[in-house]
Amino acid sequence: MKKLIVLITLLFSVLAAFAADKPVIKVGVVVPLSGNMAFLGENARSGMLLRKKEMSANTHFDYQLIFEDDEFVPAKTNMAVRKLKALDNIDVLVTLWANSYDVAMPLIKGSHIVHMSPECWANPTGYPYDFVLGGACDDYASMMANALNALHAKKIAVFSSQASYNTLFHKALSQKLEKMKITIADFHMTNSETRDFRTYALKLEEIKPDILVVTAGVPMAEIALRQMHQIGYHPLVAGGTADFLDINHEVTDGGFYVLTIPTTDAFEKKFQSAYKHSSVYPAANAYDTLSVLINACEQLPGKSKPSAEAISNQLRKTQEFSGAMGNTSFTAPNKLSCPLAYYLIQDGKSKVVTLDELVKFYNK
Amino acid sequence: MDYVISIITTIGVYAIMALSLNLLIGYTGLLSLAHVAFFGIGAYSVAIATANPDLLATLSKFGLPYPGWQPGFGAGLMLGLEVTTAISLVVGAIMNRFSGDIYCIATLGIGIIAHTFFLNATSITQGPLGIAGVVPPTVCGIELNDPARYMVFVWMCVTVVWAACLAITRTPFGRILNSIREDELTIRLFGYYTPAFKLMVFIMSAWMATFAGGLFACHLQFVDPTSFLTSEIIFVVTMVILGGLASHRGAFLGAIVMVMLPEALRFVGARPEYAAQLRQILFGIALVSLMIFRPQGLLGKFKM
Repeated sequence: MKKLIVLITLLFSVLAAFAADKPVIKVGVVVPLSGNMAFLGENARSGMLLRKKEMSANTHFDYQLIFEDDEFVPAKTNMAVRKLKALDNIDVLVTLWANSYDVAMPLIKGSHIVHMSPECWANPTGYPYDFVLGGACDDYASMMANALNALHAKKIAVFSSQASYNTLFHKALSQKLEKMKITIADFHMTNSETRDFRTYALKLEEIKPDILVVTAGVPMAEIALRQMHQIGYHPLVAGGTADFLDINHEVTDGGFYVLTIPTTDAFEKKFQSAYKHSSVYPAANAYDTLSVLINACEQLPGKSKPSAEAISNQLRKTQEFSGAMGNTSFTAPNKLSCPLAYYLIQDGKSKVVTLDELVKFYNK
Repeated sequence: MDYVISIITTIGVYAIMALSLNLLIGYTGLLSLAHVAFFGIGAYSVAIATANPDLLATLSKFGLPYPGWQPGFGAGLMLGLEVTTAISLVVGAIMNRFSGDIYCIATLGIGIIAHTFFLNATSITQGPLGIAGVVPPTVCGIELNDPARYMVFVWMCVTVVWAACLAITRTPFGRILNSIREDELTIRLFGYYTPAFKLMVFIMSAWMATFAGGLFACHLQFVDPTSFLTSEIIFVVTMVILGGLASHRGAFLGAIVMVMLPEALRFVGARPEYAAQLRQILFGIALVSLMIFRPQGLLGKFKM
């Protein structure tokens, strides 16, 4: 009897040794989980965790997500990336936004780690394993310029705040407007502490721009618009960034903005069900980032962990990937973009419209 | 290993900042919050010199940093030191009119002005976009783009700064600084013109902060205004107070604790949903506890 038990145990041990564990692909994610930008970082994390939860058991690889907090401070991003690289031996690094991208790139180059950067408006470097996902400033600026041109705007004003995205957007927009012979009659840069915009409102009332392009966020943009309304000045507003969404539609009613197409209902439902609140913009993009990665890796044979080159080659084959943010596809080498749309704000609600519909609305 | 080396390098950079600020706060009794400005000037100067040679060429038309420059760390550091000297001369002379809380608030204003400049002077600093591609220096033909070599270089610089601080504080000049801290009026009655001493130590301390900024830029290889918020100077002042006022070893220890503690807390093993917040809470508790049980700091000689 004893001999039988020993034999059976040995047999199971041998079988277990042959039952190969799935290779693990380690994905290091550096996002702000504390500090001013924590609510965005938490949403990005939630999006990725949601995607991971949806994975079936029948995958070639196991995907291990390792999150590190950088508080949106470059020195801490540097430390977090080094820790993930040296101690966790990650295969893929995900960083949010352009500043984190700039900190991470010198650390990643030459290390055979795939770098994916959602919500990044920088252009990818020449590093072959570097991928940027999300809306590009150029695309936003093109759409905005086309709308301004179609609406026969000759003179516009810009109300902005200091943020890296805004700087790039304005540079791209200025170049396009110059070609279209549309003048920027006034460019106002505010900081986050200012609350009195009455002088600015009076100045705008004098200048009388055809359209006011707003890229400042809340509360400055909302306060400024309210103060304009108080003096009886109601400019036609156009929003160029996601911050525009946070402004109360009461003050932007009748305006329009350019943004990525709405996240799919299916994604919103899943997100609400899992987290009991609506998603905020990095969530869907982070979800799609992981989806694109998993989709690419699962095309590879699963006997051993794939190299950075294999993952990157497979990522580049991504065509018309249908995700939470619509159809993602490569618009430039290593640059995955999601489609953009015009939104018209009417009676307190936003709706997606075409450029023709937008022009028709304002010509009424 | 790269991670550990990075922590040691960061400790070195902040040790220089802490040593420089300790000269003012610990030895002279001047609670200055302006050093983030000089830290930023050093970082941006080196960043411009290594990553934006066109801008450096433009500045050379004004004679900055010096004739016959070559773009690189040396030129950047020289540019930073020149700008810091000019600014600290003016700021230091004005600040000499203040003392105590007013001095602290006035210097805080300098820090805020500096951050606003870094954020808005887009033609020089590229504003919120920051300057990427900062290249570590080449010293005596040795390229320091390897983390280990750069760490050794930083700690050689720390040694030089420490030696300078020792030289300042162990001389009659240092004794006068201590006297200013204890009772400025009495030392003036002995015939010492204290504003001159305060100005000299302010400038020397600003130079060291500029030097630390240059090393910081090369370590991160990226510079942007978020690295020079008021929270950064609060971080360094905390190092000085935690380590102990008027103690160079205390400044070192403060830098080690303040850099290592948040990193050590990454390994606490908390659930991911609240790991980040728990780190912040534990960090705060650790600091408060230290101040309760050791208000003079770890190696300090007297309380703030």
